[in-house]
Amino acid sequence: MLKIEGLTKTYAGGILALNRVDLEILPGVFGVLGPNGAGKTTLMKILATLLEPDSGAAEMNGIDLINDQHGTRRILGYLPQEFGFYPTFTAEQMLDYFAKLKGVLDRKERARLVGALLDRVNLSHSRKQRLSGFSGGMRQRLGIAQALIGQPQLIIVDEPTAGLDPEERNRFLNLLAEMASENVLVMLSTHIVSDVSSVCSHMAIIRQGAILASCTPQQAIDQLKDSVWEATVPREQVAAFKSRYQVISSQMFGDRARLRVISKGERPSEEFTSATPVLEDYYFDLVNQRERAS
Amino acid sequence: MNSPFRTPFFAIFQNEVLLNSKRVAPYAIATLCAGNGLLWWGWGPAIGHDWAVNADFFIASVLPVYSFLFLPLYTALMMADPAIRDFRVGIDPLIFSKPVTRAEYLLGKFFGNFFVLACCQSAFVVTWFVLQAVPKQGLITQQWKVIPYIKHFLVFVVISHLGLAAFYFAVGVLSRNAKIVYGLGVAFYPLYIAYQTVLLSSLPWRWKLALDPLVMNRGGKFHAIPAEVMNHLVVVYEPDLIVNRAVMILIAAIG
Repeated sequence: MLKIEGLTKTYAGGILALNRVDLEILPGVFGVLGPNGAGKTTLMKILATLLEPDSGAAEMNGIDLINDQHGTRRILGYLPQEFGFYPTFTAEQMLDYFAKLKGVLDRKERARLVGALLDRVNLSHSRKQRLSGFSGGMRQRLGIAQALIGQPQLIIVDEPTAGLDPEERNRFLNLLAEMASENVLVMLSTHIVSDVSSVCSHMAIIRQGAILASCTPQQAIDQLKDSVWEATVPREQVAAFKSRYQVISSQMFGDRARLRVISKGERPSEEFTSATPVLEDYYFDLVNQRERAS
Repeated sequence: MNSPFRTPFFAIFQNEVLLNSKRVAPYAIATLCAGNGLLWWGWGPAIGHDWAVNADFFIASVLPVYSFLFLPLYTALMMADPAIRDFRVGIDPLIFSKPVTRAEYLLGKFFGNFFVLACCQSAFVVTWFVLQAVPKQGLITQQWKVIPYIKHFLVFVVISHLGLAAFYFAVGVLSRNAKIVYGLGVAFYPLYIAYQTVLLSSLPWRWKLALDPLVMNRGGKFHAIPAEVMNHLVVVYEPDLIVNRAVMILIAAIG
């Protein structure tokens, strides 16, 4: 289990990136969901030993993630939001180098491992190809392959699907789901709600450096049971609904608008019918509530 | 991990060699060094002085000058950006999330690139070594030699540039700006010439030798000796020279 207590980080200039973050995370795929600038990357970087917090603690399987950098890096697989490879290297050479750094020093064992990893991320056919010719999706898959070296117990992936086409995104999310097991915790940071609903067993929503909620996606959806409504209304009524209800989406069709609103315990008007809640409803409701409150 | 060849340091060292093998700069530098060797061989001071081109003294006298001519620029070129390159391509978070210490990383980077630099610089002596087999009118060539090339190259070129390389590398890492290092590479020449003319020129020969990082003043000692004696001279490193080289290594270690 990964236990995070009171993690706080303030950047130069007084920007509070993390504000006393507490989390207890079990093995599986854990989603950290939040808008851009919420503090997700800061949290990921701290857990990946690349950034020091001002205060707080993080511990996993008896390893102090904040103070024991070497020990942490032995159990860690990390795919940052922004990264690159040596463009003149081949996929095989790149993974071979990372395997050496991870402590896989036997040449034969390394060759076997690199081959298996390339197979796993479906890049075997491109093993001799220069990385300068890799597409975005291939780069991401190679990125996850390097994160898998050394059987890590904690795999941190920061915004991995941004910029991927739907097919690559789906393939990547499947890979993430395969990686998680009862001993492996995959921590996925994203601002794409459907990524979390697709693969995460648990999740947390973060905004302005603070955790707003931590639960399973199903628990989150259940909280909105009988609270989500949909209707097509005249366009001129949209403003009135927006002032009275939490409008999740509004799509305009000529002089009509299709609205999806949250109204707990009250049907907004006769034309509204109950809709099945999804995780996006919960996310927007929570984030917008806090925005209004602040 | 008992063997030094099975450490993250060696992995980074090896990787730097591989990375450089795919760049143009090392090949360009090696070609220029080899061309330089060719010019010093066929059109250098040996012609007209009856000096043998593979005489021990001749090799030991020419290498410090070769070390001064273009090598500080090449050293700056090679040592400026090994670490900056990683930040530029964005591979740094992938490396630093592996169990590698900063010391292992920096030492691996430094020695990997310095090894490549030394290999490029050695193109000069390799060219000379090969050219022993090539007869040329007006050029005296003695029996085949191997050791003087290696020995004098290590003492007069490699050690001189070890200190310079450490300095350039440190500036590159700290500033993360390769242009500053290139600027220092160019500035080396006026600074070194000023150092020679203002400080060293008035000192006794011993001090000139001891305080000269490129040991360029050493050759002056041989000028008065006849060629037939010079050609059979076996160069012995003076204690002052050994101290000088030891200090250079120490400076490199501090850098």
